[in-house]
Amino acid sequence: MDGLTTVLWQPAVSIIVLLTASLFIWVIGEKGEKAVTAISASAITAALLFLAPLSPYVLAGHVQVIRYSILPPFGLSFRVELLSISLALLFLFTGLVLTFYTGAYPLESGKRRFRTVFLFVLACSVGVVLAGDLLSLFLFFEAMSLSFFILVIHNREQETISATFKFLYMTIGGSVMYFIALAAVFNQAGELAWRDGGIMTAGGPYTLLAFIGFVVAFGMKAGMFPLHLWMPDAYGQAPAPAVTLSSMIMLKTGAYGILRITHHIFGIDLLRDVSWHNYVLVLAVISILYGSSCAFATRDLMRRLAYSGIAQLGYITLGITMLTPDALTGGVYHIMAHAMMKGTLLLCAGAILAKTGKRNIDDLAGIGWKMPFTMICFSIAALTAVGLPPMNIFISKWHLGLGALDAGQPLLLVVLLISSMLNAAYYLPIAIAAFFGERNHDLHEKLSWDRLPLGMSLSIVVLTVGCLAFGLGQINIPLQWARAITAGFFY
Amino acid sequence: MFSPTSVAQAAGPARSMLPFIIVLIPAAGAIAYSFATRHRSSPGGTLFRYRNGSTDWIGASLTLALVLAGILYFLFQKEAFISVIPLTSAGMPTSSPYSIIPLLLVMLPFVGALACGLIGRYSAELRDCIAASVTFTVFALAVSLYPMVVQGPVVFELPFFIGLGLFFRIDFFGFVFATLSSLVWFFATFYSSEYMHHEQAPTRYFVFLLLSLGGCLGVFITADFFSLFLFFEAMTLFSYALVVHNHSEEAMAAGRNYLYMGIFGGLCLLGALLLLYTGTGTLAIAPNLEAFATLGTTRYLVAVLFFIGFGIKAGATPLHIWLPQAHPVAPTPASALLSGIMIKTGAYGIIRVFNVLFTPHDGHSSLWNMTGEFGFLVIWVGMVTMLTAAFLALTQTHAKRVLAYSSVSQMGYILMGIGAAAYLGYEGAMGFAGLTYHILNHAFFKAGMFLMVGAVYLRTHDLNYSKLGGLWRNFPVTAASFLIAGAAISGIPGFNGYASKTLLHHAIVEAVAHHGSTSLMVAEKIFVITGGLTFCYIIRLFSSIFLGPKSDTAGHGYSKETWVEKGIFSAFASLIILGGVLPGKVVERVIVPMSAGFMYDHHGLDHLHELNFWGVHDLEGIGVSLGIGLVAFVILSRMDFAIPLPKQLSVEKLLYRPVVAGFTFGFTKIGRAVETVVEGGLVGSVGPFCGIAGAIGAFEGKVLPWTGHLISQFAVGSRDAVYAYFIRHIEVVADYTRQVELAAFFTMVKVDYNARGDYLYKKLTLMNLDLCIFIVVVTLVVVFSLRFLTLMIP
Repeated sequence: MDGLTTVLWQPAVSIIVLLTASLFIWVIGEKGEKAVTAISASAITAALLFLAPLSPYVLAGHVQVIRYSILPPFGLSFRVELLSISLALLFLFTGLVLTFYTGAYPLESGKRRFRTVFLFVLACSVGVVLAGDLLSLFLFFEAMSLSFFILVIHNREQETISATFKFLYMTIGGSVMYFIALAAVFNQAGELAWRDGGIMTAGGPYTLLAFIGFVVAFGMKAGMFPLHLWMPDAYGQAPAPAVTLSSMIMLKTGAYGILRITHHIFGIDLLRDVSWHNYVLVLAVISILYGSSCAFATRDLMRRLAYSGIAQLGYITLGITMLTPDALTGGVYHIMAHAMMKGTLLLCAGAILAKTGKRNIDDLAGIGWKMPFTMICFSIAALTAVGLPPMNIFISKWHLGLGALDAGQPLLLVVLLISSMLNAAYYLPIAIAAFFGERNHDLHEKLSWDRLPLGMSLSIVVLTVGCLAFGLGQINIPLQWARAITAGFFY
Repeated sequence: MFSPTSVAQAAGPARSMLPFIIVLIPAAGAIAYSFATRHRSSPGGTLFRYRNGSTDWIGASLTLALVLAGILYFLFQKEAFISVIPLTSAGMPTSSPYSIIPLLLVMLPFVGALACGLIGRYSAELRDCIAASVTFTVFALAVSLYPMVVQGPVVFELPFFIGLGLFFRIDFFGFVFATLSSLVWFFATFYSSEYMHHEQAPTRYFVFLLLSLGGCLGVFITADFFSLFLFFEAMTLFSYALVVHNHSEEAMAAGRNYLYMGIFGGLCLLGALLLLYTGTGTLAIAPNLEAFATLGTTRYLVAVLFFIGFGIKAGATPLHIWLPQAHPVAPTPASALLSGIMIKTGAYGIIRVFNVLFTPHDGHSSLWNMTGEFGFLVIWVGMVTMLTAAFLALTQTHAKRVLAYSSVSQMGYILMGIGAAAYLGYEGAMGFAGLTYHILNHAFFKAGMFLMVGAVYLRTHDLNYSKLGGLWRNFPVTAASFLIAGAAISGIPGFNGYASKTLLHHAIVEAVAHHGSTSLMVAEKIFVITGGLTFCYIIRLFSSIFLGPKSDTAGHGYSKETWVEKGIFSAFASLIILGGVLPGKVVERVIVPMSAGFMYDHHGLDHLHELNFWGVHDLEGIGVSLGIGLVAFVILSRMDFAIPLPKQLSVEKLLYRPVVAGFTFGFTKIGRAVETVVEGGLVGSVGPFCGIAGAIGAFEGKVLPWTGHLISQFAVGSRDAVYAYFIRHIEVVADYTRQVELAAFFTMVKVDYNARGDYLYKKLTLMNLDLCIFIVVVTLVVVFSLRFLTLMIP
């Protein structure tokens, strides 16, 4: 509580504003598309404006825990610190971009329901990163996961429903594990709040149980290897804005959870003693290789992106569980870099899907001549994904590589390089076939619009610039913040 | 190449040449424009168009130059025009001039590419003009560095770029490379403006040509391996678009190999950089073997990764397979640049690694042995490369493929030189001189040969030996300059190839003498034999295209060589002859200053000054080599060049395809299998629950309908029973009613006609007649209603 005596109202108010706005959309939803977009955008902007002024405060290293005595017996608490604020700002920013995309995206029906739930999920994910203890996090985490299924099931076709149920059952399984872990932590430590260095003091069967529970719950959300099964199906079936929301924001909450429990529940000293983090590390490595190879094997654009997401989230988990400062910097930076890169790819894929109705990669030859703008952005993002300098992901890969060598595990470097090669092998053919070689002249246009609506192209441009700008700019703010976050953890 | 007078001037404070360059842009633009458009609209030349009133583009190029100058001034104020800034800030060696020019060298092509892309849609002439003038300006900028680089390296820094920093540093070595590549680039771009009228998508071609120039120059002028890597990757990506330019199946396949091998190489470099950085803490291009030697076995890994990364681009033998595929399919000027300049970036990288990074600070250090170890391996890679590629060049029948294989073979020479220089260590000046000289020479003759073959291709649209022949009458200047370039590549005395090959031969002989290694004696023999093979395939190439009878398909209607072609080809020819006639001057003015950043013995360098290129031994050696070539040509031409090489012996088929296929197969199949197993496991664990649920479902499905059926049966039955009961009873009631009706009727009749007068009658009639009527009415109502009811029942 050093530095500031007043209790910060911003976290609670931001979330309340977002929730109120989503309720408001439900009430007036059928009135007009533009009004809905305006309301969502202004609510998100308001939340951004509330939270952004806190950044100098948290950058100076201040931390504040805010506790409200609702929800007895533990109360609802928020914690304002650099990690939370930076992720909340990232989520809000990407959510703002996505709002404009969603406003222009041709959903066939149920727009009111979709957009209400969309904002609700965003609010809950902001709540997840701002939450100050395990129970508050659980609350927001569950609300987010369970309401997300409404977005997945949107199309109401047979496959959609089966994909949704896969997601729903796995989510419920995850929350059961979370609950068990919660009980185990409370039994062992007697409290549920984040604490530097961790609240668990000794290893043991209950601690192990808690660790496994958290890893299952968060790993399920982050698409970690054996728990990723919901991802490809859900990505293949859900509408593009929902998929992008999941990829840019929801998956990151899983990675965030793993980061939190590693440093603030178990603590790196305990983990180094018992070396459980190595299991997660192995799973992350398998996720990287497995996701990349599956992405290489599949011919469906959306599923390919989903498998690639599994691999990319593997990078983040890898960076977190290597327990070296450089690797953590890389992992935290990758949260931002992946949001920009995968957001661009998914939005472009959504635009292609909406315009041509084609989702098989073989059918997309020569699409660059039909949709030059979209495919140029797609190509830039694809090159980013390969990790070519000076784009964003190169920076995270560089730090991950340094961290791997620091940790004395050069094999992880080989994994990173192989995965980059596979990235090139499954992304670049799409970009190449779009512009060079034989063309598919059968790309008839399903929808009436000739060029993309303004909202969609604008959001694609913003994210593409995000892929490039931080690499080319003189001052890389996300990298500085990532370094500051790391410095906070490895004091 | 560089006049000695400017060395004298350089003693004073160096002046910026930028203002002159800014003035030169419009001139270059005007010249480029006049050449580019000469043959299209009218044959009149520049003056003629003044009369036609279409001089606007010249004016436009002038304006563009002024705008460019204005932008420069706005961005950098006076610094752009005063290129040497005395540096007082700490942390930088004050002897190094700090200049914006390195950044401009890289940025100008990028800006030019943007301008080309934007303008190309509206005006082809202006686009060609911009491309040519940008490359010329870059060349002029590079030359303008001369007064500074003779004093010391020119540096420029962008310390915050992507968090790792971008550092430029041009020493004399990089300066020569930058000048060379921008000069050849200028020739090729100039030539392109004519060539590309016959090809599709010229705007895209020019954009990527300029972008590749930016990447390529960046490689030569960076100060650390990270910045080098950045530009190296950029060049690979940008030149990909040049390789696949004509979209054919063959081009796409070649491009695929080029791109993926390029990316693989880039990732190897990245791995090497990470290992180097964690191991030694620095990525600077400077002698650093002391820190490096402490790394243990990791140092071999770093060396191998660096060699793979750069060797792919340089075409070292097992990694060369993309090169003979990619170079021939590109448009000819792009092939010339790929073969002449871009593969040199790989050689440049290897030089910077094996001849700079892996050398100790001290000339008499014992660590030189380690440099020698690496050098020995590089010599042998070079040897294998030069021999196999020369053999393969002999068997090809497509002119551009021959030239591509020839490039691989010549890169083998250069690699051998690099290896020899590293092997000789502190005394490696001879190898260094040979390899740098050969790089310069190869850039001139190979780029020239590609352009000349391209001029033939423009007319014949075919480059197979069987379709060509006897073309020297149609292409006199081309044939003559091709002969000169061919003589140079085969090392005939008097042409530049002879000088560099002599130096390389000296180097390998020195290596043999120095360490007495017998294996290197074999290497020396291979060197001589390869020279012979080179001569042999060059004779075959020249005679197939320009000599012999004209083939049937060759018509006589080929258009004449244009002035652009004649000019560029003669320029290449004169540069080749210049390098061949005055080797001593070149060594003195170019090669020896280039060794500034390298650790070489002074005596070796002095020895280079006194070297006699025309010694009996050297002439004898080249004579033997040429003799072998002639004999081989005579024998092989009898056999019609049907060399029985087994077709299956392709590195690509034997090594790469199986590895890649295995890799892909492994990943995809394992991935699928794992997915199936995991999903099966999860679904299987749900199985029992599903069974129970299924049983319950089945139970429900069977029992519930049965029960329902039973209930409904019961309900229907009971309803029927009630019905039947009522119906039965209603019939009885009807009977009674009928009887009551009859009884009432007769009773009334009886009452009416009873004369005696009954008691009841009396009572009825006397007391209340109405009661009688009432009873009758009620009776009738009851009777009729019951009848009605009975009628209702079916």
